[in-house]
Amino acid sequence: MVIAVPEPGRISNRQASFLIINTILSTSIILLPSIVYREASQDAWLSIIIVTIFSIASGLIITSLGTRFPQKTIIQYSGDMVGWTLGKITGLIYIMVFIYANSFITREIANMFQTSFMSKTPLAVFAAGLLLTAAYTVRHGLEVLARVGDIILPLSLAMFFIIVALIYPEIDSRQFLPFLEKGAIPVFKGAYVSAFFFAEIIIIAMIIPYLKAPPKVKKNVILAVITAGLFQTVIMATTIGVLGGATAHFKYSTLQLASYISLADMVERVEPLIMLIWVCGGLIKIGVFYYCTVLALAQWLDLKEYKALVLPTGALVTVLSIVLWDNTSQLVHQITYLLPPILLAIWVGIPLVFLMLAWLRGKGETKT
Amino acid sequence: MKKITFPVWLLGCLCLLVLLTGCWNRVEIENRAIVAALAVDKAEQEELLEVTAQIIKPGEIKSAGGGEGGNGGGGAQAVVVYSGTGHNMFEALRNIAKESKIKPYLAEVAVLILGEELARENISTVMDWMSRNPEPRLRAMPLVARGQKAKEIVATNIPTDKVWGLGLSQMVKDGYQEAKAVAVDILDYLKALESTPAFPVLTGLTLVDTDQEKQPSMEAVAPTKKPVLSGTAVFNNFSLVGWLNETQTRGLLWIQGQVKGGVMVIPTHQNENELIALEIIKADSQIEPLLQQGQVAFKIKIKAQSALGETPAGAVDTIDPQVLASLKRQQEEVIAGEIWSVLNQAQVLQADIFGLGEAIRRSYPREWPSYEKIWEELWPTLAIEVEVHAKITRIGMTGNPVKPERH
Repeated sequence: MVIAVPEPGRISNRQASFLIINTILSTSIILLPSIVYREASQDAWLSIIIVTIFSIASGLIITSLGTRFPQKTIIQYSGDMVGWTLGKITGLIYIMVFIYANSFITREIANMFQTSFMSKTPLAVFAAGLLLTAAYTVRHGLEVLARVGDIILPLSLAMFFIIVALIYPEIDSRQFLPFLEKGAIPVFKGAYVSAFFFAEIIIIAMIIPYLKAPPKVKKNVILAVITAGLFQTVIMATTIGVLGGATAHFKYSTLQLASYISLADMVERVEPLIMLIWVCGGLIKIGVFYYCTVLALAQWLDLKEYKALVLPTGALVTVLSIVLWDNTSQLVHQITYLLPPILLAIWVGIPLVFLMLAWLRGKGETKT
Repeated sequence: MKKITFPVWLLGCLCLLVLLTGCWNRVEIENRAIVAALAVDKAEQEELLEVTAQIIKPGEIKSAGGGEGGNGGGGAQAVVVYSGTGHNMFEALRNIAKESKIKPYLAEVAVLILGEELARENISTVMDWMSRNPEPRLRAMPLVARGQKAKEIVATNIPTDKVWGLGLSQMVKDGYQEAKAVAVDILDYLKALESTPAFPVLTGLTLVDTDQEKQPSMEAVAPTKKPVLSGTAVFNNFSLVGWLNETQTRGLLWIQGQVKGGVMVIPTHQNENELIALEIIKADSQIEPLLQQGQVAFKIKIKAQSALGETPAGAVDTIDPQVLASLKRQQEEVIAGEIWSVLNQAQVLQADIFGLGEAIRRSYPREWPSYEKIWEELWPTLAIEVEVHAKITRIGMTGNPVKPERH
């Protein structure tokens, strides 16, 4: 029983992959290296590979579940799985987590701007600017969001290549040694703190019904995760090779990487490229979460349209992004130590439980 | 959707105009106090830092300089020097603004000169500030003013450079290319701090007297002193513990495999007074640690290629391969001598500036923690073997030099 379809548009599966890559990479590329390095030191690149493998598994869970209900989002089929009341509670949890996630994404980006580039501009300007732009995109629907992603992803990946190529001469391969100095445990710790960046593939559970070919989504999600993991591994390895032990000192190590570029004393100060990746990629990421939030909210409330929810949600996220944390240390501490278990439970655990329930009860369509 | 009427459209355009006025924090270039070099000293008053900033005057760079940017040569100086004191870097810099009227802008800082007196105590706050502040770049080079105040160096005019702070950084970079100085920037310093044991090195600068008569090109303010490279400062974490001289500096660079060039003067094997110049083309090094029954040994292998640059007439027969082979051995001895010189100095200073501990950590990660604890006691007992392989690959455009008579 499909109640209301708040989203009339359809996007192609490739566009969905692009959105996922964009969502995972745009913040993790900047924040992750120093967070993971703190745990896993010079083996941090290995942590990223491990987390990529883990994400392929969680991607399979989410998509296997989604393809059983190709017409519904996770908000809609949670009622089918665990009954109306529990379903609504699950839906609410998802909505709250989306809002929370969006607040910290916004705050991360705003913070980086304020710390590195424009120290006198208030956070609210960045937050409101980002969310207003995202609100405009979200109001126009998923198709528009996906098309913006189509334009921006190749651009930001190109920037990424430029930065890695320019900094390549500075890599000191000795800094990767010793391999597994303190055993395998720090590597897994590093994977653990980075896991929820990759668990953001949960967004596909909100998008599957609006794909042109929902049954084929598995392949797209896996490809997207592998691509994102590959890029993240490369940037992680580059950071280790260039910054070495100093990686953990810096909050935005990729930004330091870019600012360290100096090719023949001519090509210098390319860190605005990083800023470009952040604004564009971050905008898509905020847009995707924003979209998931309002869509989920509309479905949760059985509304026919989500447009009325866009501005209030945006206002809420703007305010939350500013008042929830005093400073970046608090934010980073939260995403490193407090959030991973909660987010992983919600973004991977709940789909896994649902999938098992679906198997046991034979709910949903079985794969053909 | 409703059609946008002309008045609404016009209103929209007018609203956008407001945004065109510029950024929130925009500063015109004339009002920017762009700092080219910073000097940090202990102030006369206890516990205070004195920070001296060399600030570029953007207007002066463009005028009288033959349109050559910062290296105009002669003419009006394009920088002005201000000082401020404070309990830490931050306060001292803001106090500079009392004189300079504007807050110093630090993104272009090329060198950060530390007074020796301060360096002997602790430079941790200075380094923390340099990496915490978003403006200075990791490429900025920290230097040590050997035996004097850093302020004097920053305030000393280099006649060939309009912005002589940039000249100083160029001097160090050129020195590095000639294997006379280490080129350590903030990032290298931080990386060295992270390694175990942490003994960063920085290039030293000092002022020497100039002979005023020999510089007729200078106008009114010919400086009586000029800065020159002066060895390498050895740190134990944040405190200066000693110095390497020029030979030892090159020894250090040999061991690190960072010799990029430079001239070696070596005696021929027949005659101590006949000196031959060799130019280093490229060099490479390898440090092999060996752990055997609690004994720590290192094998330092150096490979060097050089070109014959100059030889006195009749000194050597450069066409004879055997003579070249003996020259090669002579060069190997000189290189080994430089290496032993710095190894001995490092023993005296008890400073593992070569990253020997780090080499063990990389090759023997399991065993390293137990050695790390006793590294200080182990340091004087290390068995080090130096192996140098030199090659003379080019002998220049001529065979034997022109001789007045044959014999």
